[in-house]
Amino acid sequence: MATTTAMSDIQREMIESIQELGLTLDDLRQYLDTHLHDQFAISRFNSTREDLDNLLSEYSRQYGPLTGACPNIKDENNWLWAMQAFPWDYE
Amino acid sequence: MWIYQKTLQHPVKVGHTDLAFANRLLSMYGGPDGELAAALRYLNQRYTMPTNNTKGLLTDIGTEEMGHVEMIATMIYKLTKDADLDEVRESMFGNYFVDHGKALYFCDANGAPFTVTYFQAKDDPIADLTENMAAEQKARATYNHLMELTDDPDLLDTLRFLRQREIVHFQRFGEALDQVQEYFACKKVF
Repeated sequence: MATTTAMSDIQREMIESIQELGLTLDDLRQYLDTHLHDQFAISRFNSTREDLDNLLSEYSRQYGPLTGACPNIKDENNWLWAMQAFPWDYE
Repeated sequence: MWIYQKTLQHPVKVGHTDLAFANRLLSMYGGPDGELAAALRYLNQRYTMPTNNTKGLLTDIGTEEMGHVEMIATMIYKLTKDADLDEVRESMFGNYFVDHGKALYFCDANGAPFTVTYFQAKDDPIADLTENMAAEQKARATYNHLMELTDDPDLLDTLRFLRQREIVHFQRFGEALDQVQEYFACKKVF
């Protein structure tokens, strides 16, 4: 039978902010691919990248790693990366 | 090389089981204008593109399409996972269930398996980028058709997001096409 994992409101809000910033970066990345010298888009990319990195660190400290680059992908005894739910298993 | 992030690109909320809609949504998973075809088409066209920024655009859009494959899979999974056998028996999803149960399988809404004949690679950037623009419009039209087949506000939210991305990608491919044409025009001068 299907397994689902509950998510607190705060955790959901953080995930949604991560998704929003990620979308902004996806959009800017593709825009910059055809507008290589757009200074405004580059500075927007830099500030969004920084906001997303901060949020990813904050999230991973509280709820576990979202990418292989998170420093807490493991703790002393546990491979945390493979212990947390996958996106389709959240309620 | 790719790096995975354990989130969907955009929230997918599914409040209840809907086997018929899951069955129809399969076309955006493994159908002719679906997200898998888009991802593979763009990532596979990169090697013979003439400019680095066009390779970059195909990489970045192709990568995003992989994220869309995962969003569609999540929608289908959530629409079907809690269905009991009586519901499956009475639904059009019953035919799919015979071969795949509730597993995800790349096919269209009628069960026809995914095939690479859905897209091309011509070693001709003008032809390839023009195909991509058409592909984005066909995917947009498919999302329109799907949106005509449900009233569920949560499903509509996700479909609207995905449809919007098709429109953005169409715009980007159009810009890349102009730039590649300009690149070839300049090359002839020398």
